[in-house]
This record gives sequence, C-alpha cells and structure tokens, in this order.
Amino acid sequence: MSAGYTAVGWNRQKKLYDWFIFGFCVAYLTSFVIVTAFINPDYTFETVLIRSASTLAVLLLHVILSIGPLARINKKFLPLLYNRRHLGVTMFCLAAVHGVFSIIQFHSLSNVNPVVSLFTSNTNIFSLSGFPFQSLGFFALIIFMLMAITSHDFWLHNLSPKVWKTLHMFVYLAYFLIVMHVMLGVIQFETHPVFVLLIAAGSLWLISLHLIAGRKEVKKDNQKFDLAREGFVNICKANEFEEGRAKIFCVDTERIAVYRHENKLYAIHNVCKHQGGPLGEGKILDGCITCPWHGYQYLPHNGQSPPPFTEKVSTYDVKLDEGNVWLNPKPFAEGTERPGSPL
Amino acid sequence: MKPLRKRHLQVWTLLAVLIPAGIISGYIVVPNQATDKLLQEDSSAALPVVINKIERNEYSVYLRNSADKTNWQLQWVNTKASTVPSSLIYKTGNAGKELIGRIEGQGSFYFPLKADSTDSYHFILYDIIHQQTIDTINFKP
Repeated sequence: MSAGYTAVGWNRQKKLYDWFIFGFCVAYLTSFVIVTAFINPDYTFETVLIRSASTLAVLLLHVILSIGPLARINKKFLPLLYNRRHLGVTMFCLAAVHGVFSIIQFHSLSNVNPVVSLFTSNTNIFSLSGFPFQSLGFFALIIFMLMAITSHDFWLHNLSPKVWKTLHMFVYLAYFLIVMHVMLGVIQFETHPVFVLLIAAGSLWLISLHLIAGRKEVKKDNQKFDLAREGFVNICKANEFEEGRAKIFCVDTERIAVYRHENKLYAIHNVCKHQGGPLGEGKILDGCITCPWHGYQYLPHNGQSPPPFTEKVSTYDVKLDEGNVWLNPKPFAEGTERPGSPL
Repeated sequence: MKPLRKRHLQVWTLLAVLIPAGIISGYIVVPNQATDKLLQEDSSAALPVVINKIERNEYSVYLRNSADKTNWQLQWVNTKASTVPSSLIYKTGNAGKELIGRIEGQGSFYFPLKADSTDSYHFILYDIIHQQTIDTINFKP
C-alpha cells in the first residue's frame, strides 16, 4: 500500500529481519569454510564456495517453505511471514553463487559454451545413477530467479495477485527439482548416510507441515451453516467475539471476516488485496483492520483503505438476533459502507 | 481463494508421493563402491620403490612397490590445481574395469594395487561429472 513509489518501504522490523538473515548467512558460511579447512585442507576455494552456498541455500529453502504452513498452524509464526520475500531473494543469490561457480568450475574450461556444455556433456537421461543432475539444479535456479525478480510489489500489482501467486507456486516444482538434484548428484558421490537423512528429514518435515496446514484449511472451508433465513445464516453466538479481533467463516465458497470493533460487528471479505493475506487473522490497529501478512489496512465499516490509499474489499451485512450472529454471504460492491450491527 | 488453497493441498499431496519415491530411487542407485570412501590423502605412506613414472602438465603418476615386491601402489600427484574437480581412476585389463579410487582438484593421493601378473598397469582417468574419459595412463614393463 503506497501513495508514491518507494523501492522498499524500510522500517525497523525489516532492517532487523534482514540483518538477522545477513548475520546468519555470514556465520554459516564462515563456519563451513573453517570446518572444511580443518577437515580437508586440500579443498579448493571454489569447491568450498560451491558447497557452502548450496547447503545454505537448501537450508534457507526449507525455512522459507516452512513459514507459510507454520503461520497457518500457529499465529506466533506470522512475523516470519512479513519479510519472507527477503529470505527468498537471499536464497536465490546463494543458489546463483552455487550455480555460477559450478558452471565455471565444471564447464568453463573447454571450447564449448559453458551452458551448452551443461546440457550436452552428460546425456544419460535414462540412467538414474548417471543422470545429468546439474540440469535439474539449473531449471530450479531459473524458477528461483523468476520468483526473485518478480518478488517486488511492482510485479504483484502488474501481474495481478492471481498470476503472481500461480507463478510463485512453481517454488514447489523447484523444491522437487532440488531434492532430485541432491539425490542424483552429491548423494551419488558423497555417500555418508547423514546427507540422505538430512534431505529426507527436511522433505518429511515440509510434507507433514503442508499437509497438516492444508487439511486444517479444508476443515475451515467445509464449515456447514444449517440455519438460514432471508439470505442470512446463523454463524455463532455474539459473546464469542473479542474486541478488535475477528472470526472467519467460510460460507459457500468465500471466507468472510467478522470483526468486533467499538461494540459493533462488521463483516468484510477475508482476502487482502495485496497478497491474499487472511484479514480475519489480523487485528484492528488505529481503527483499521490490519492484515497480518504485510500490514495493509482497511476500515471496518466500508472495507476501504484509509486515504490516500485505494485498496477496497467487499463488505457484508451482519445482524444480531437473541444473542445469535447472522451473516448474509451476498457481497456488496467493494468499498460499500455498511452500518455494522450493535452488540 | 478457496481453489488456491485446494491447489496447494493437491500439490503437496502429489509431492508427498513423488519426493519419497525420488529419494528412495536416488538412494537405491548409489554405487556400492562409494567414491567418497576412495579418497586417500597424503596420510597414506608412499611405498619406497618407484617402478615407473608418467608426467603430464597437471599431474604426475607414479607406480610404486615395496622392496620385497609384495605390495603395489599408485601415487597420483596433482602438480597444478586440476581443471576437473573430481575424477575416478579405473584400472583396466583383461579382467575388465576395476575402480581404484577418486582424486580431487588438489593434493596427492595413494591407492593400493594388486600385483599384475603381466606387469602391465593401465589406468583411465574418468570425469564423473561429464561422464567421459579424460586420460589414459599406461605403465609398461
């Protein structure tokens, strides 16, 4: 949400987040080099760089892919989501260091173009043990690059959130390519079981997290509201609402956030216009519903971002009857003012 | 948004099948002769007698044995940082191809050999990344 163009809206939290990422990466790379120098002093600088950058990139990829489902399972992880893109760009840079130096080391000293050499030097595509695993890493790197260069909100607005989200879902394909790049590459040469165990444990962790979070979401989406009258459905009791917070209801196909604000109930569409964040999982700050993902704000009574911002979401009618809350799932046009229902 | 959530779950359900299958398949085809266990660094002792020596621009290769000729050894010395970061050495002969060991870009490496009744020792240096032979080393009696 911005009135004028600023490349990155830096604030204290973003700076702290980035400094932490930077510090962690430096500490990891330094430790890797020291341990390698101690264990095997004959390693070349390029080899250490290729290996340290790749292991760190794989570690960060696991962290990045964990943040989404963790935030869905437990709200305490939401702060990690705030700058996940910075973590993603960092991961891409490390993967690029690994990729570029690998191409230089393995493919640059011949009369064939290094990228052509990458694809033509090994064509055993029907052999698992001799599979050209480097090409898997190359394609994953291309996906990471596309994600990194479109990570800015400029691209989110220009591509539309739907296209942007679809593009960024390719990270799952990239993850699969990386797992296979590791299994058919380094695991074939460095056969200590710890490497297989690490990649298997990482995959198991991610698969479990995503399936648990996914099933939780399906359960929410399949809520049934039997009592209906005059277009309204009975969603819950009025005393279940906490001031400044919301409850989310999935009626028909869309999720609706019902907020309690200054002793009135307001209902707005649950999906933030920025990146589709769950508005109902945020809270009211300075009189505005605030998205928990990136802090976009909307007024509870009309679903509009406060001026000068222009984002709008749909609003809904909500009413009270004998302590029961009734919601009409038919949306009003985005930004339509609704009076709210006094408690 | 509901279709998007559904798609996420579908993708991860698919990955829950594909990733373990990929890991298991990759693990099954790991070579029995693990190349990382074939590295033998300077800590190995050189046998005293140099039988033969071949020199290239980037490396020197020595065929060694013990004074009583009961033990044989191949010594590989990278005189410059190799342009191939990781390669395998195979001994070739009538009995086929036998994996001797792995060398990396720098350092010197020692590999024990079985005595050859023909007194001929032929080796190939194989690039495991590009899957191609880099050099052949022939020690003749």
